Amino acid sequence: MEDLKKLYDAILTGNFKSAKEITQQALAAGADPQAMVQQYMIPAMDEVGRRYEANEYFVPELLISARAMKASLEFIRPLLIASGAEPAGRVVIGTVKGDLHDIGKNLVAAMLEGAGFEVIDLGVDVSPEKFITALNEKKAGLVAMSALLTTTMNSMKTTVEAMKAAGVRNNVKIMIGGAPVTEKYAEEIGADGYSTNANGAVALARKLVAA
Amino acid sequence: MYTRLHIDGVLHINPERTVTHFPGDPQADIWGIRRTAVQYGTGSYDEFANHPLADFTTVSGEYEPFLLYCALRGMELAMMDLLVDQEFAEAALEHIFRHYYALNERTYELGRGRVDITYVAEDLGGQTALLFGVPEIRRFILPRQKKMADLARSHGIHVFYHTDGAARDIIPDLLDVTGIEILNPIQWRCPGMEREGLVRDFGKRVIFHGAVDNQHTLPFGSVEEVRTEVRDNIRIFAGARWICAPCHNLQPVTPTANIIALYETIHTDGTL
Repeated sequence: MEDLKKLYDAILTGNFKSAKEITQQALAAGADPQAMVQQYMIPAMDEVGRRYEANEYFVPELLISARAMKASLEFIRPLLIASGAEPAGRVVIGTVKGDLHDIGKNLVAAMLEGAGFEVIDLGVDVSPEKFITALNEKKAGLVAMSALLTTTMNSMKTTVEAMKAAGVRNNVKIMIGGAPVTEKYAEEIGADGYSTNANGAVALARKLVAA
Repeated sequence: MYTRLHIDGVLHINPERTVTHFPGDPQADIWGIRRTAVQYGTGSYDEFANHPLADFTTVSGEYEPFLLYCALRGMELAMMDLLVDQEFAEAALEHIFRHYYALNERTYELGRGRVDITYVAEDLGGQTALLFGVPEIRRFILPRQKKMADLARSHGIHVFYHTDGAARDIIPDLLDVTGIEILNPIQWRCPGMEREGLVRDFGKRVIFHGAVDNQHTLPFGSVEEVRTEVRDNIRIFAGARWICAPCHNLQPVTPTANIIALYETIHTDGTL
């Protein structure tokens, strides 16, 4: 469908007004929401991620593309839910207890959403109990934790421990990220994976869900 | 009515008002001024009820205009503005910049030769790459930084520049446009910030400040790892100029022994 190439372009260039208009028109004309997501939106966000990794796109470009993607998804999501389409996975995401820095977390959440995941965003300063409650309620298979500070990073460890104590650790895959976080740290605290950036987080989430 | 009075009507033109009151104070207008209706018998006038600048004595603040813009606007909107609401971003940054420029000018005048170094800063680097594209940095950030640095230079003051993260791609601009003399904090674990490359490419033109890792080595490394890092720095920066410092404020999780090791090692091994 030629018109929907414009949806791809609108997301790639971060034009949320046109993403919204094209989506409304396409849906009114009877386009298949699932196909719109799979064939245009996810590829557009994949390309955004590729450009980010290649230093062609930076944080502002990611943000405007994510905004365009969300503007479109707002109309598509209810239809997907009504049709009973399963998301690529369910992710509970938040910055850990004590950490209020959420731009990285928001980018990861947006990229995951753009990749077809259902994202349950708990926001900032999320306690271990809150993570656990959300995991139980939403039956999510993935949890994503973020921290910017070396001082708050330790909350990731306590959250993993709390998940073990609550008996939910083995039901989920845990991914972590944030400025001071490393692969080594992920191993140390018993997380399943780590990523340096939002695009890598999508690849990691896909891998963990497939595992 | 106009016809009866033989007059023309007046059409008012105003910008669309998106903000109608002062943040946090619905009773106040965008300037923070509240009004009270004062009755005069047959009607009322809205009279000023407070004067927000009445207690004003002076202004202060650190110089990171875009950071302040992020605080005012919200970080995500502020960043998107650089691409999609450029006029607004430009206007706001110009106001913020002028405030700091005037503040610094007055400070230098009052300092009369007693100020050695001034801080010009903006975080341009993230953990793995620049936060913004080079075109946006060149348009929004660098021209104002240059004016700020020129002001310092005209008073004989050295320009100390701070940007976190992976800022390698913008360092040539910082040297050529802004005209920085000291670069902080050299997060050498970030891509492109490897110390050897920085010394090779910029060592003749800038003094490095920092370079003792504060994300891994200082908070989580051993005393020996801290010592090794300081000694590595002494060796790598030998062909350039380096001021030893942690890459950021020492974090509360940093073991005291590591802090002592940092300063002891530079004292014992760093003597020229």
